[in-house]
Amino acid sequence: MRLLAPLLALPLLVLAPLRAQAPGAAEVQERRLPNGARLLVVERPGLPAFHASLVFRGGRAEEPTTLVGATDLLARALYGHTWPEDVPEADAASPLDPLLKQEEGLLESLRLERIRRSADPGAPSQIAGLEAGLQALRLRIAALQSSEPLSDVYARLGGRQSVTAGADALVADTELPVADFELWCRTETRRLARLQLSRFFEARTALITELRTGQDQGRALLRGAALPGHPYGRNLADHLPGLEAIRWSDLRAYARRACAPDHLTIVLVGGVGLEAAFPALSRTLGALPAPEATEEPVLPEIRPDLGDRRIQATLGGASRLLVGWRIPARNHADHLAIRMAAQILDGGRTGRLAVRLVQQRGLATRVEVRMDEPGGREPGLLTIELWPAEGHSLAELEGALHSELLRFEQEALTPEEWQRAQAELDTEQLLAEDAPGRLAQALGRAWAEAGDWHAFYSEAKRLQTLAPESVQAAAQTWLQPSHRTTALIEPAFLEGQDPLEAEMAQTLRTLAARRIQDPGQRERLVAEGLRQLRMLPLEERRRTLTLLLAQVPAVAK
Amino acid sequence: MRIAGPAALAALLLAGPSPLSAQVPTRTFTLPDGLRVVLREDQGRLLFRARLRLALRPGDLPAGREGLADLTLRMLDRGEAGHLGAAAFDRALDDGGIRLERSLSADALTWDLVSRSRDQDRALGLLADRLLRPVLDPAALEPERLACWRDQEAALAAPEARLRAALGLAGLPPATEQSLGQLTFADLETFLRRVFRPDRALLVLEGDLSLEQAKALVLLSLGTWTGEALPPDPPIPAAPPPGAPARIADPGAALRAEAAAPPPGDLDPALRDLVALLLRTDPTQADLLAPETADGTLRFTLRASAPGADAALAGLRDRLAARVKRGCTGADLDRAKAAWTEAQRVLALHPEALLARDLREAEGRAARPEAVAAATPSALGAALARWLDPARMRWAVVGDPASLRP
Repeated sequence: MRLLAPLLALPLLVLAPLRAQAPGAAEVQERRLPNGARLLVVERPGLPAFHASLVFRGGRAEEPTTLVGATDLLARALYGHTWPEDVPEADAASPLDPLLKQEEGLLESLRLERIRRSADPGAPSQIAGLEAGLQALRLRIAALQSSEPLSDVYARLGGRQSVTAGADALVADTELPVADFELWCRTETRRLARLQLSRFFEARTALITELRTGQDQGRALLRGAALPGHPYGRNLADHLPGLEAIRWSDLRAYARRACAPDHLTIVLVGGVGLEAAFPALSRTLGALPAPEATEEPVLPEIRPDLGDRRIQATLGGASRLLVGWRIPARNHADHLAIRMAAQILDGGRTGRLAVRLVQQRGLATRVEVRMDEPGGREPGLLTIELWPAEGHSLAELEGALHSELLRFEQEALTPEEWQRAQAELDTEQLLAEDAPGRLAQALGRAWAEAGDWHAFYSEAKRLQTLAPESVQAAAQTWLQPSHRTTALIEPAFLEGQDPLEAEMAQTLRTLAARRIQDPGQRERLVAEGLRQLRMLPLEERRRTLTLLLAQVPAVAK
Repeated sequence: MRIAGPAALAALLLAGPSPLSAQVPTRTFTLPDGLRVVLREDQGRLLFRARLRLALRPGDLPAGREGLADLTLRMLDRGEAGHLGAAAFDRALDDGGIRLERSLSADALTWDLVSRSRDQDRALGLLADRLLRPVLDPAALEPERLACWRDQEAALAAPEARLRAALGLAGLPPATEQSLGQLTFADLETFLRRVFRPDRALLVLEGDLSLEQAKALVLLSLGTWTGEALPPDPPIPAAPPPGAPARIADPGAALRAEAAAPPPGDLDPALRDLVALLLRTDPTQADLLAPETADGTLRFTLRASAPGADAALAGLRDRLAARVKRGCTGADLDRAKAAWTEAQRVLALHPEALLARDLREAEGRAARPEAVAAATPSALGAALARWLDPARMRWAVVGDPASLRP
């Protein structure tokens, strides 16, 4: 054995430099299943588990106007969990079906009754009776649903499951031990064949609650203003009545189209090889019936040079500036150059905007740049979000941002910042390739957005050969005022969440009450006063409050 | 074992990154200065990862000095590291596409480092500069103190942040204007001397480097780390029991009760994992449990079905009491054990999670398979009852100010 050691070491030494190369596109194997669904496999021999992504292209952008929110609802109702009753072994009709149908009828009656009551509050109400009926029915449904810990099929196997409803795709991710691969194939097939959606009501309630309470309204406003009339510009929170009207059977019908094999790419990364995976998948997911060819939805086109748009909004949270530019879709020739521009502007702690606006000029406390918002399949947005430092206004920040962009477009980029951006993108690419889940999602996203998973690798190569001049040229073309939408977001003035501000508002109100009778006018004055005080540093605000408080007894006298 | 031929060996080597992540055993070594190192050698990996954890002890953060750890970390970010100023340090990181993130929890300061394999020497060198050779700038103290307070004030303006602080989910107790104002430059230096020392540190490495390479790398970058002898920690008074439920005003929000249950400190990690698994996968708790927190604290939320803050709290207490009463059956336990065992395989898909597990194992905080196998339904039931003991949990009600009135 000792004699063999040098011989064995030789190939190791010879191969060492090769191993340092990223495996790249060559490690991805592609096949088509009998029903047209695509299969991508990246085998990582020796890994005892696998990550599977089911990528259904379409997403929110392709929702019909009558079913806005269906992708999010489907994500929760179909892929939130894997309950045994949703993926039964037997083909027989589920005992849940008639109950869920009844539930649908009761929910619809209740919704219509509530609308009728809001239009005519004096009319006799059937709401209580309907609610009682629904309650009783829900108990019957619950009796057929799993209630034991670890009932979830994948959780019981030590697996993980997550789902993402995006603008361009619905992506369901599962991770399981390799030994459970065939079970995963069968389970996913039954899920899609059955479309049980047994927790439809809970999913819809949870989604509506979340939309009512959460969400970044600033970004939603920006998207709406920048992409008017396009599904990318929709704000789901504006479609709550429609969402409440989506019925169980509507969602199932939608799922049959949205989750059809011709919309599906399966991405497997881990300890499962193509030769083992393909036969099992052909028998299961590959045997799902392909629907008759349907026309692809035609999405409206938005001219990027729609004009410079501005909105001003008062929302909760901190004051901030949000600027978005309409940029081309991911498969456009200029897209990569704009991605590089975004990287130079935002990259790490030493990105241009962080250095100039935060560190050197102290105008902002934070900067964030995002690409392809909300998606990349259609022309979306490049957004820059800035939080002003104390004592600086949003207008000041806006002017400084535009100056920096002009400098970016007109002055030569330094070799250091160029190399820095490339190094950061290189690390980002390696991070995406390193973890099975991230790789599966990146490949799926490339397919959903660019129409070809190869884009994930080819873009990384093209980034290395990009020239600074082409990045500046793309910035000049796309980051110009006619492509721009600006949102000035101010906090709600009278929220009173910050104790100092609440006291300030109360003091201003007291002072204003002595001179102004009209409450509306008084509140406007208080709001304007708070807006101006926010420009001051904290210490000065405190001093101002002390001075104002000193005025209160005098006024009272 | 058959010896593979060169072609098979080459095929294995070229097969892709991380072929044997799950099976790769970790190896540990300790430097003469006391720094413990865990290595996960993963041949072929194109990325190098390191996680360095400095343990915090209760005596490090005396009462009245809230904000000390946060302010020290901010001063480190602003100060020199080795021969590099703050801006040059950041540039050195970004030039190599190196990612260095720091985090602060109730019991540790942690740095996470990721770089391309070819930059691993430089990356670990920069981390060493940050930890071993910091130069704090006294002139930065006042601006950083102010920035620290402003950030905290702004963060606590949001109801969710106030709620997290009230539930003890925000890590260390939040600083007050007074506690921040009392911190001196000497306090920061003392904190650095107490905490930034090799015998407090645990370093986990993962990448394409052998044990010998790892030893050389760590010795070169962190081998000169020293820590002076310190007096023993003063006795720590027992933590006071949680106070009355907090009332968090959130204008316009629907009334809800919240509770946070940190895992009992002396609970066996195996029981902790099994109880958490059973609760998180219990359909009857699905509407209550919020996503997992970093330290394993369970957070429960119940939307009020009737008016009144007290009624909301009582509703949540009743639901949790019912769950405790139900306990754990033998069937529950068997399923949990099987799921836990299989979940260890799935962990192999997550490099960062493997690193975290290695760290917990090295600190004795990870569940051992034999302890999982030995768990009994009664032990599990007792652990559940202790974990969800209402007296040790933190409670809050959140809602519109009008709905919070007693």
